[in-house]
Amino acid sequence: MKQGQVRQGGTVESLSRDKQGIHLFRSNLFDIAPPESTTVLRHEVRAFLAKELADGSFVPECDAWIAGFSPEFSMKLGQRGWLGMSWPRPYGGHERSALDRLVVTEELLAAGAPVAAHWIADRQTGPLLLRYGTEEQCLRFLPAIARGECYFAIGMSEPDAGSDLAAIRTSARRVEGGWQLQGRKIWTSWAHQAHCLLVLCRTSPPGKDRHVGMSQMIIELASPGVSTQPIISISGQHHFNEVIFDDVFVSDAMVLGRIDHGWEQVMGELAFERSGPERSLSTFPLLVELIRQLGPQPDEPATEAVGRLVARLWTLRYMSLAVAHLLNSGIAPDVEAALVKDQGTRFEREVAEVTRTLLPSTPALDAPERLNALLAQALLTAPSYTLRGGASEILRGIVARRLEQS
Amino acid sequence: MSDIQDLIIQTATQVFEDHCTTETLRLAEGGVWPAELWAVLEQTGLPLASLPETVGGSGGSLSDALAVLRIAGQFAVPLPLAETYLASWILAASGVALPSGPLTVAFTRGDTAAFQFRRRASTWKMTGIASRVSWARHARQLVALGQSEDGPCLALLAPGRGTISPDQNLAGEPRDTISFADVEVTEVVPLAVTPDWIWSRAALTRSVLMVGALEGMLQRTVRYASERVQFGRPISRFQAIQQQLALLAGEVAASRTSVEAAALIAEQEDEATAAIAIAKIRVGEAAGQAAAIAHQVHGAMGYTYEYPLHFLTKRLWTWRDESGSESEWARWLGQHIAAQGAEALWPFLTT
Repeated sequence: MKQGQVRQGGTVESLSRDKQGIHLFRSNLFDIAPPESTTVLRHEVRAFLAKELADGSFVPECDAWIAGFSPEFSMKLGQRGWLGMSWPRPYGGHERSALDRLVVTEELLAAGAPVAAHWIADRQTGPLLLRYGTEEQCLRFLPAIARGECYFAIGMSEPDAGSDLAAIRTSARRVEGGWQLQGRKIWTSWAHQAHCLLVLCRTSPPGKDRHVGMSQMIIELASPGVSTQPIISISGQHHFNEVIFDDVFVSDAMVLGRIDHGWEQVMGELAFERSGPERSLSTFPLLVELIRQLGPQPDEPATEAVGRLVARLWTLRYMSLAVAHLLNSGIAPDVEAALVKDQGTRFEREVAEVTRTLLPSTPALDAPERLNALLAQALLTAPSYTLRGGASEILRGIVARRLEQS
Repeated sequence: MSDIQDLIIQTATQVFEDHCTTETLRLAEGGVWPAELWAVLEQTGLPLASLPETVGGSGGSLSDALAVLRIAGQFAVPLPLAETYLASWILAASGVALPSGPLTVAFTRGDTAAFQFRRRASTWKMTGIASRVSWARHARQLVALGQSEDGPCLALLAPGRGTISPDQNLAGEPRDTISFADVEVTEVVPLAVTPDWIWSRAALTRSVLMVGALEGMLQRTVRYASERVQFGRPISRFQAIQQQLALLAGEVAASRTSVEAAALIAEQEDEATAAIAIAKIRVGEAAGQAAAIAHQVHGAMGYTYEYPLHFLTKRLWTWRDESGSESEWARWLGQHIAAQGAEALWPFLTT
């Protein structure tokens, strides 16, 4: 029987037809042994964090990359050259490898450090400026971001446009020297304290292809016509906001990239947003505390549960590394990042669910016991993990479409 | 992936496509040894991959052998290929020239004293019993691990020299009990690898086979969903199916990643037990969920003996129990992690 031939009823054929199969991770697994300089860097970051912890400048928290807003901490990182790491030196960057950046970010995440202020700017706005920004924009924003002094928020979602981002209604009409922006954005974390917002808006009406006719613009949040209103999450925390644009003037110099080509730009931004290790480490401080509380000789059910969690996290970390490797090779890892985010965010919640089955607890955000406080943080933020940055169901749709094509 | 490995994968795929048909699998499940399939495979030299030329191997790295094994898993190949590799690695490390033909290994978990070897003048006598010996009845040679007065050792002999009680796993693969009562062996060789090394490498080969089976299952399921028409369209158009396929693909990708990481570490370090444990846990967990999705998407058709999906799913269900289940390995790993303490977790994950 030749490859692919099937007799009636599928009686005689081999089980596998394709030579390579459906292999989502096209890159060969990166080098296990990183360069010496990367290992040195990792230890530098650990030493810094150990000192900060000893000084009491922060307490490890779950979800600290979203909720832990600390300009002081961001500036310390900036001073050490740990922001804008892979950017060109003329823009305040340090021309280090993507692997080096990954090492720094995962150390900060694992420590539950308060990195929220600079996180978006460093992770996605900066790279987007490098790709689409003018020289003027790069010189204006990138060095300040790299110093940990300039913070950006994400202006994508709207009340009527969440998963369906192409349904946005915020629009800009052409005026002399620029644009007049009208509309609103929602879920804009820290817009009430950030400097700028990168807004996706309509500059032309949607045609047959809904994706044509959108643009990205850099809005200074202090501009006339911009107002923010807090949105409180179920935990009582305030980081989300609604941002309203009432005829806000945006000069041509603040348009990012090409008018009406915002969709492909924002897809690139989302690739940066989705490919990070934060999608499995949000509850890592809780996992550490769980192991601490279980002690050196837990009972069998506990050791088994811990073993399973660690196996999952180890695997997720390698999957994250593979995604970073793809991103670094210039490949847009949309499907791979979607897949890792889906599994990673489920894992983050699983840590909380497993913890409460292994130890007695009375979770409360202000509990004096670390376990109870961390567990409360994890439980109350868990519903957001599988929603933010792409709802899991949407991500699975992205994966399914790739499977159809293979 | 090197050019050589590409060639290895192509060759293995071609051999299995041409000679490991559904008919082959049915006959094998009925107890028929697929002689032609083994002969063709042996002719390609693939069972000698990763083995040093000094003992008659064809050279190459561990990942070359594992690449062949992964493809074998994809096709549910009913041969002791993993066992032949494992036996060969043990023999090569212990300085024994590789015999031809299918091989297998008899050992008891954590206890090399499955067989006792006693000196008798210029020769040895071997006694003992081992159960769940893969493919014992069809192997040409058995690597019997045991203990002599000098320490852990091995002997190489034909399984037929012992008494075989046939048994099988859920997928119909031979898992025989073999016993020897004062059987003469002329050569007993000191064992150059530890029981833990053997057990972990067995788990690695089992994990690699499972990744192959998962990949084969994913391909087949995606294809079925695109061909099966209900309500006037392929079922792959329905979101409910798409979501399940995406979950399935995720489990397969996670499995492959963890196993590739373990394989790379095993290639570079002697001590790879933690990485292998993690791979076996992750693949074992994936297997259950993935097989369930595959059967669900295939509907009633996939539940028939005639449709070959079960050759893969039965292997997944049974292989996850072999060479240490997820629970056993997770307990080992959890103990290891707990003993090192909470502060050591992150360094453990990042080494």
